[in-house]
Amino acid sequence: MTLQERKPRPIHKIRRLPSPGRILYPPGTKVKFDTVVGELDYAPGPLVRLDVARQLGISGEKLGDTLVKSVNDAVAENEIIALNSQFFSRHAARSSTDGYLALWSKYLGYVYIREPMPVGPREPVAIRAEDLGLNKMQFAANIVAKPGMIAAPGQLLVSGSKKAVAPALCRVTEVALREGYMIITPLFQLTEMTAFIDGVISEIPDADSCVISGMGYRFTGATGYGGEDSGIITPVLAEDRDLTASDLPKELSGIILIARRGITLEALQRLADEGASGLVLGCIDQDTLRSFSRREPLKDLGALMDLPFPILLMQGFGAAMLESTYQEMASLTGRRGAIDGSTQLRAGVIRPELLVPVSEIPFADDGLDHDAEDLPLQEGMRVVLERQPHFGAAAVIVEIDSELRETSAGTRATLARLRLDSGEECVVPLSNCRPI
Amino acid sequence: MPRMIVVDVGSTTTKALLFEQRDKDWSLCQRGEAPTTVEAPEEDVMAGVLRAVSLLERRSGLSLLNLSSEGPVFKVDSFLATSSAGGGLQMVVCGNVARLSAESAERAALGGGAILLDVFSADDGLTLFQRLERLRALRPDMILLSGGVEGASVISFVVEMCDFIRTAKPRAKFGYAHRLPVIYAGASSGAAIVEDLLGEDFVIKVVANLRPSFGMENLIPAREAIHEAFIEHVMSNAPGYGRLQELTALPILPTPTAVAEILIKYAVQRSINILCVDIGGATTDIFSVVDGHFTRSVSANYGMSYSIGNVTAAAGLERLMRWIPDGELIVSAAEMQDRLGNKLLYPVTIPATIADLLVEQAAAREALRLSFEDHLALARIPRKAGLFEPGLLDKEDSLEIGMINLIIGSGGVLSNAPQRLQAAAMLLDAFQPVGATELMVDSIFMLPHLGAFSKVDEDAALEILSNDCLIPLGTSLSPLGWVEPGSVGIEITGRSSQGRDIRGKASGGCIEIIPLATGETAELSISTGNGAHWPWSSKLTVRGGVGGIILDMRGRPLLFDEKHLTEYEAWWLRGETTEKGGEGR
Repeated sequence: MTLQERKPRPIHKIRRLPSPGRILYPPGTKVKFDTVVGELDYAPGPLVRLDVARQLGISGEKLGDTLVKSVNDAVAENEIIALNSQFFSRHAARSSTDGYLALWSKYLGYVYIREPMPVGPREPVAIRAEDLGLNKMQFAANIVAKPGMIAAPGQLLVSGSKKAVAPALCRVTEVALREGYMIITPLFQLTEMTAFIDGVISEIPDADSCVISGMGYRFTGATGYGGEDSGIITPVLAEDRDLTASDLPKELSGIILIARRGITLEALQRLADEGASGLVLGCIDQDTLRSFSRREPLKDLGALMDLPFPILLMQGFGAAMLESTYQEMASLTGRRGAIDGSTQLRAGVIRPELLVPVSEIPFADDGLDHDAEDLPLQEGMRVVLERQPHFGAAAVIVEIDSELRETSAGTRATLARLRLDSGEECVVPLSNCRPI
Repeated sequence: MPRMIVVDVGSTTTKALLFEQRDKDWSLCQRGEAPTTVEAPEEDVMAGVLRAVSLLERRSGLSLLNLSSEGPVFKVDSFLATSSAGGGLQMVVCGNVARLSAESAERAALGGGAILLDVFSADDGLTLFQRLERLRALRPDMILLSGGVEGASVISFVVEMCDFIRTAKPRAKFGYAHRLPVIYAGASSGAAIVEDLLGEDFVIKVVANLRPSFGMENLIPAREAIHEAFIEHVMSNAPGYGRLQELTALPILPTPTAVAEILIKYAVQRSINILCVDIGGATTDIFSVVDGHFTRSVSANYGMSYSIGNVTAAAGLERLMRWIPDGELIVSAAEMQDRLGNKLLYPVTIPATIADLLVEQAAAREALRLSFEDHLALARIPRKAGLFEPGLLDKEDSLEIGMINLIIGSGGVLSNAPQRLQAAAMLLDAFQPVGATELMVDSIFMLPHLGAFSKVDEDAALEILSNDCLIPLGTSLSPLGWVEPGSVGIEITGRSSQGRDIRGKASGGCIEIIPLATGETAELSISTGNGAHWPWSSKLTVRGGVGGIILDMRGRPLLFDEKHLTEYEAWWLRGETTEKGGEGR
C-alpha cells in the first residue's frame, strides 16, 4: 500500500517521567513537539550516609526524637538535621551536603541524605594518571572501572590513596592502561520532558505520565539505538548501497536522514559532528556501529547505546529497506518527524519508531486501518521475509500448507509458498513472514 | 480408565499433557498447547489452561472438561499444574559477603526454582545510591535476606538493606496491593530487627540460618520457605491462579522445582549423576544431581533468541566460527553476525537454510558452554570431612564433568534439531564429557509435568520418563589426553545384549560411531594408547541410542584453533543418520 493510498491515522505517544514529578497541562491542551509537558521534582542523586547517632552520642533508637527534619525535607550543607539537648548540653548534627533527607535508621543510627543529581557537561572528560599523581603502572594497578560501565556519582573509578570518583552519572567510554588514562562521558539526567510530537494531551494516566495524540504516520523499525529526537525528514539515498560521506547534504543539523541500506563510519561521524537529529536505515554493518559507538550492537539495544542521535533500522542486519517504505518516507520530505530508538525485545516488546504527525487533532479511530502486523497471516497477504532465504524481500503469500513439512535445512514447520516481487516463487516457513 | 492431566503454565506457552493408565502401565496419551494468558488483555491463566485442555479433548476424542456455571471441572482422576508464567518466580537475594552468605542465598533461591533479579552484598561494589535505585526499580516476587553466622551479632549490612527495602518499597510483579514476602535466613540475632523494620509492609518468614558457620550451608529450610511463599503469596495473587489452585490436587509447583523433583528421583533410581540443560530463548537453566546433591543455575543472559546477542558478545565471533564447516556451506564472519543479529530481532523465525541452522547450532554450543561455566562456578558438592583430616568442618568439592554419567538436553534447539545426532554433537561439544557418558534429549520438555506427576505416583512418572520422555542418543566414550591424527587412541571390543560382536576404534582428532540400538546394551572392554588415557574401569556396560557408541578422540579440552565440526558435517551430509529430530514448529 503506498502512502497516497494510506490515510493519516491516530498516533499516540506515552510520555513518562523517569522519577516522581508533575505533568504541567491538563488533558485537551494543544502542544508542539518541543513544549515542556512534565517536570521532575528533582533528579535523584547520590546517597550520603551520616552517622548522626554517633555524632550526638545517643543510641540509634533515640535518633527519631532528635531529628529536626523529616523524610523528603530539603537540607542545606551544614544545616542542623538533629539536636540532642540534655541537661545543660546541646549537641547538633549537621548535614555534610545539600540534598533531601531520604531515610534514617533507628538500629544503625544513620541518616541518609540524597543529593540532587549533578548533570555535568556532556563532553567526555579524561582522567589521567599524571593528574592523580600516579605513574602509568600505578594507574593500571588501581583502576577499577571497565569500559562501558555506567558509574553513579561518587562511584570509585581509581582506587588507592590517590583515588578518582565519578563526578556525575557517566559512562566509562575508554580505558587505556598502557597510556595511563580513561575517558568518561557524563550522561544527562533531564529534568524536563517535552511532548515529542505535535498534538494534544489526550490522557494523564498517572501523576508522572501523559499521552500525546495526533494524526500522522508511524513507521516501526526492527531495532533502534540511542534515545529520541525530533527533526526534518530528509531522504538522501534511494539506492541499495551504503550511504557515504559524499552522499550527505551540506546542512545536517536538525534533520532526520533516510537511506535505504547502511552507512559508512565516516558518514556516521560527520552526522555526529554536525548535529544530525536522527538516522533511518535499512540495516547497518555491526563492525561500523561498534566502531562508532564502542558498544555491542547485539547487546546494547535502544537507549543502552548512548549515541549523539538515534538510529532506526527498518530491516535489521544485511538487507535494504523495502523500496515502498523508502518511498513512503520520501513523500513526507520536509515534515517534522520524531524518532525514538527505544527497543526492548521481550517482556512487553518495544520497537523503535519514526512518527510523522500531519495534523494535531486526532480523528476518531474508525477501526478500518489496523496495523497490518496485528492481522493473522493468510493467502494473498503481502509480507516481508525476516530470515534467509530472501531475507528482507517483499512477497505475496500464494498458499499456506496445512501440514508440518521439512525445510531444506531439515527443520519442520508450517510452510508457505510465496511470490516475491521479483516474480520468483519460493517456499519458506510461515513464521519467517511478517505482514506489511 | 484412570487419567491424569498435568499442565505447565510457561512464560509463553501453556502445555497440557494427558496421561492414561492401561493394564497398570501409565503412558503419555496426548498433548495440547495454547499461548499463556497471564498478561493483558486476558490476564487470567485459566483461559490458556482451558484452551490447552480443549485441544487435548479434540486430539484425544475424549470429553475431559465440563464447563458449568460454577466454573470448569476436569473429568480426570487427577489434575496437576506447574508454572513459570510471568517470567517465573523472580527473587532478590541479599547476603553479607558475596562469596559466603550471598552465594549460599543465591543457591537457595535458584534451587527453590527462582530467577535472580539481583544479588546484594556488603562487598558488591555498589554505591548506596545504586542499591536504593535498583531496589526501587525491581519487581520481585519475594526477597531472601541472609548474613552472619550463628552466634554473630547483628550484621549492619542486613539492617541497612532492611531500611532500604522499607524505603524503596519494591512492588510485587502481580497484585500491587499484596504484601511482598521477605524470607530471613541469616543470623538469628537479626530476626527481631527484620521483623520490626519490615513487618508492617512485608510478610516476614524467619527460617534457620542458611550459612550457620563459614564451612556449613543449610539451604533446605530457606528453599522450603521459598516454596511456601510462592504458593501462599505469589501464586495466589497471580491472575487466575486462585481458580487454578482450587482445581489442582496438589499445590502448584514452580517449573524448575518440578524438574528437580523428577531428576533427583531418576538419579536415585539409576544410582547415577545427572546433568540436565534446558536452553530457552532468553535463559539457560542447568540442573545437576551429583551424589544426591542437587544444584540449579540459571544463566539469565544466555539463550537462543532474546539473549543470542549476549552469547555472541561473551563467546566472540572466533569461537562461534569454529563450529561452521568450511566448504560449500561457508558463512563469513560478517554474515554470521548478521544472521545472529536477525535471530535476535526476529526470535520466532525458524532456520530454513543449512547455513542458518549451522549458525544457530554454533550459538547453542557456545550458550551451553558459557552456561556450564556458570553452573560450575555455583555448584558445590558437600563432603563429610574424613576422620583424620584437619579441622572438624565439613568440606565442599567443585563439580567436574568427569562426575557426570548422563547429560540430558532440553529446549527447542536440542529437542527440535532436524537430526538427533546434531543434538548429540551440540551436547558433546559444549560439555566435553570425559569417560563414559550417556546422552539424551527430552522429546517435548515433559520434565516439569513428570516432576508434578511423581508427587502422586513416583514409579509411574519414572516409567513414563524412560518410555516417552527421554530419547537416548547413545553413549560417548571420551578418553583423556591428546593423540596425533592417524594414531589409534581408543579401541573397544565386546558383545551387545542382542548377541552381536562390537568392535571399534578411533584415531586422534576423529569421532567414530559404533551402532548400538536404543534399548540395547553392550559389555565392553576398552583399551587406550598413543597418549590417550582411560583412568576408569576398562570393563563397562554402555547403553545404546540413535548415535550408538560414540568414540570421541578429539582430546580434552577441545583445541580452540581447530574446526571440530568435520565429523558431524560428514554424518549429516552423507545422510548416514535417518533418525529425525523433533516435531518442529
